[in-house]
Amino acid sequence: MDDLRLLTKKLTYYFLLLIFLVTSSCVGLWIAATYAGLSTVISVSIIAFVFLVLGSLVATYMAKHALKPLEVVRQGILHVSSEKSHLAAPDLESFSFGRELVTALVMNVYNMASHETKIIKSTTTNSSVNGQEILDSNPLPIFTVSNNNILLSINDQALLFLGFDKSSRSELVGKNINDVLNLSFPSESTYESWITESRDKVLKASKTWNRVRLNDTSGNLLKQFDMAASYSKAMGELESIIILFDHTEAYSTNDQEINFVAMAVHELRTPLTIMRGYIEVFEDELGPTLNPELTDFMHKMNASAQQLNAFVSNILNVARVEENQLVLTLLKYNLQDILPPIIADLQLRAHVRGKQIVLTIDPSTPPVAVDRISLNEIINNLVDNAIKYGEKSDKILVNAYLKGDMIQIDVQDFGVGIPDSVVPKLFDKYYRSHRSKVQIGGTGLGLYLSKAMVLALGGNIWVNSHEGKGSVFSFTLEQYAQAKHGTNSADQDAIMRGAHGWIKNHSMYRK
Amino acid sequence: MDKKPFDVQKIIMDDSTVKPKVLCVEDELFIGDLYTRALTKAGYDVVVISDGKLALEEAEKNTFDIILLDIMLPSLSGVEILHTLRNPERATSINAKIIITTNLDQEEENREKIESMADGYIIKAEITPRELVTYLSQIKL
Repeated sequence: MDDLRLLTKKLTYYFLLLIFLVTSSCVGLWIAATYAGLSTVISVSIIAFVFLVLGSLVATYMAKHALKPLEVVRQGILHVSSEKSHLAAPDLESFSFGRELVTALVMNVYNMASHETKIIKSTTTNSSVNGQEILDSNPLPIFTVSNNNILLSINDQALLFLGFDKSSRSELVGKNINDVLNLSFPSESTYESWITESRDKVLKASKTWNRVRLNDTSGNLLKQFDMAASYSKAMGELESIIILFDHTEAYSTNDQEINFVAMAVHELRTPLTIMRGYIEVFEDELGPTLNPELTDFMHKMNASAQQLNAFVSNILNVARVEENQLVLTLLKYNLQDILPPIIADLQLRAHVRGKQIVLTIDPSTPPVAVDRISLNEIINNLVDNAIKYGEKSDKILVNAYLKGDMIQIDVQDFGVGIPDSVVPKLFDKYYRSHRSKVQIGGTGLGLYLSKAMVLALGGNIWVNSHEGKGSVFSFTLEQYAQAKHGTNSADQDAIMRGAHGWIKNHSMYRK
Repeated sequence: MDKKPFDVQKIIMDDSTVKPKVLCVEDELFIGDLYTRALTKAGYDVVVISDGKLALEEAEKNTFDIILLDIMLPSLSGVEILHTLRNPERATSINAKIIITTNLDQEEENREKIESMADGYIIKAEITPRELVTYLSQIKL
């Protein structure tokens, strides 16, 4: 037991250190008393008093800390023993002295207890209370899952919910839960990430999720629901219970039910369409007759209409990300074909702010798997950012190239840069850099949305910035060949993706 | 007056005086004006109708090469018009290419359904009249 040796060593050191401290303070006092010319009797009694007080303080401190591990282990044992089941589970985070040893011991206690439970369970299978009957009598779909993600039991409601009949129960039980439930979550906090974290850190936990999607293998939506799960190490093999609350109808939309955001976006777009149309008429018919200043005004007007249009799309997409309705269709593209027109559309916006976008695509870049509209949104947001913040220079560089397995796209400005302290929050919703409060408008949706979309595309996004020198926003995309390799839809060219968890769940059964 | 799509193109190539006919179903007056202006300049013959039912009656006559179809319309929605025109059990099929022109962003599932029945799907705010002309010129009539 290395942990035990470690604890013994620690205790010995502490003990010696404290003895040394007490002794040296007594010696110090003796010397001080001698110099002060105090009589021997007074000196001795002062030192004896100090020795007693310090000694009892030290003894109390040592006893408390040395016995804490024992206390936790005792609590663990009492917790699993049936008579005292009302007691709370021991908190392994509450102390640091000998935690390694105690964690190991407590885990052992729980493992032994669960083993015992199993034995009891197997000897009482003929008893009148049957677990499956209890599960089946529940009106909600319930799944129980083992500590290695195996489906242990599934109730009648759950079978019905998934579209199976009762005879398929035996086929499903014993399968990996991720093969039975192809879930996608509206945020990065997925069931998978939660249970992995729980296993490492706690003995008991529970969590609920809203707007979870159930997809078939090609990504089509089957059901939408809220979900609750509980986790307990003490239950042994049975580790997690999942309960679903069906909201498929409430969460889905159809032709007739247009939600508020879609409606608002529609109303905003109509006057925008008209403005953009008439600006174009002016440009076509008046353009040649205008002096340079008025031409510049015309360009500014047009660029602003485009910017407003991009912002309106952002609003819509944020709503989709949050309602877990963002669905992307990844197709095979060459960046040489699709990036230049996206950049060309942005040049006017850069131009009216005295900037030029320089696009460089490494000719050896392989085909990419991407949703064209989303790529457009991501580039739009990153370049708009560079236009806003790249005040010092007239150049914005966009570079695309293969790096490792992934295709990387960098958007570089030479502006004010971003302080290190705000970088971690930069991709949060509504966050704007401190400096922008005064000078620059925007809602801060752009980077939040870009991140959601890049993640949905299977890539990553980050920033490198130096204050005063500028920033490089970089994101990666999957090569088409690799993204294709990872999906089960070998016969289709299109790869369907949703935001956040969807990708994670897919990647789990890429084998 | 039934024209086969194939013939239309041939006629355009042979004789530029025969203009392709566009039915623009659009209830927003200014957008209708802008599209009429741009398309007429580009050599199309344009009829604008702002009411759903009237538009369907006009489309049923089967004299158009292209139908630009808005979705949110008075009396009958563009989706309903699309369903009627593309119903496989129709006695006579409609030859016109149907392009959905809307500012309504559909949920992906709905959009796919609509796109599978139509010949194109355009968000109006995303394109200018000039870009619409370019788009239509690339459609094979």
